[in-house]
Amino acid sequence: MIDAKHYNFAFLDEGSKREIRRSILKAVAIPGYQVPFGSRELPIGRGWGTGGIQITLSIIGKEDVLKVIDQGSDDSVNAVNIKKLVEECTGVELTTDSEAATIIQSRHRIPEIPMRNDQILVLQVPTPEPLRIVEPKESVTKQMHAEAEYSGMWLSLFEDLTQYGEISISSEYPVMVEGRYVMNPSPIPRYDNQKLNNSDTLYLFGAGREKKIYAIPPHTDVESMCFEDVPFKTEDFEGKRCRLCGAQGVYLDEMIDESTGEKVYECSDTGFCRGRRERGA
Amino acid sequence: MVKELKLAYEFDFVFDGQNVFRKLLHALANPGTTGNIAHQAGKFAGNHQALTALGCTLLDNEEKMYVEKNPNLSADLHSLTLCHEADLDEADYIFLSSEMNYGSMEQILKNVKHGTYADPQQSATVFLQCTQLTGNETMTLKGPGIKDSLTVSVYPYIKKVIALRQSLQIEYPLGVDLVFADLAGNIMGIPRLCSLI
Repeated sequence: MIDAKHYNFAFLDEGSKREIRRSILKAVAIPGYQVPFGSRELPIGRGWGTGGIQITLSIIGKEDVLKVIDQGSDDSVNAVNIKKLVEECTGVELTTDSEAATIIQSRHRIPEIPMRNDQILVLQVPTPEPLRIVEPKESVTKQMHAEAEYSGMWLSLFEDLTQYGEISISSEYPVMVEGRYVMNPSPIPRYDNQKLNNSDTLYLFGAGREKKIYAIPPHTDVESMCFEDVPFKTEDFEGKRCRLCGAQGVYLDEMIDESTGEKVYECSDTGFCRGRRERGA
Repeated sequence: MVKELKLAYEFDFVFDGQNVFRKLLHALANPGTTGNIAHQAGKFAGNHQALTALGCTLLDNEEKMYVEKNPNLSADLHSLTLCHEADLDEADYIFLSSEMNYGSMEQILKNVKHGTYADPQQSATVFLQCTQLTGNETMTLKGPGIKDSLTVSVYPYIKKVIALRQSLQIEYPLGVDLVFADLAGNIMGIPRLCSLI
């Protein structure tokens, strides 16, 4: 752990933590609504997970066990650097086991193993505003949320449907939270959208560059936006399995086997895959 | 002669503040459930330990508070956090250290900040102290944070306040978030979307 004389516990000063904590509580009270906050400077560039880091640093305590993943991987550069930063300025225990963690910070994935009520998932968000694709001005999108004026969003989905025959959004698929706010679930794949609905766990979303915090409390109604006659579809992994652990029915990464040139699949959630192999599943 | 210096309080704003926050977060994310901050609150003296601990966790000079008829609590919170008092309709955090009658509570809930449609977060959070959280009044809650519905036995004052807030029919996303705290350091969060059925 870095010298406590020079840095406060969890890096941020207490005033910053308090403001972020107050914003988190408001976000929990108004699910799906983007609460503005004063995003702080961190020793990492904006756009590299500073929103998630600020949330993690504001909620973490000495007793917590932290897991950080990036695109499902425990070992990617972003995840490793964030882990090191938090560990150095808090001294908390780190893990790659989803079930052992009390706080999981993630970018682009929700762990395969369903999370519990005593855990918190912190998601890093690059572009929190789901309406940005239909309206570039922040002042206008804010008013659109105020009036629940989401016809532009529906039209955007419809145009996509007419152009491609299906809704082609692969990640950041917009959701409706508690029938009131359209929300960007962060760039998770569509496969993970269903994990947001009526979950046991608390989801906190942090966008450092865009200075927004939002949340989905446990057991909140989260519906992926779709039409009555065009149901929401997730990615299809029918007939495919992980080449390392053999798992089926999980989110898989597609890659090319360099020796044979064939498409092969591996679990996107490396902690889950490693756990299965260690247990000999 | 060497005199022993005694701390006025032992609450650690870094670690105890973090602990209280996590319990408050869990309470608001899981309405109707009870968390306990007695260990941290016990580091303050006085009759309003839980309210003081909650205040010290959230308040600073950027926020405004309103403390109903309790100059001691107000002075303590101000000296500990530098938070200034404001009128009821301007305060971000409201502290009610004693149980209010129906009329007074109605006036408070009507007049506190409810936020705006564009900025619903600019609403007040009300901290209410009561003798105890558990009691013989049964209430069933629904809303985000609750799987289907949750039936709990609470102190009658709690159900009355929630029913009163509901009767005001404040249109979501506007609203008032409630946090009840008792003398034993138990806390219960009732955010604006949580309602009685």
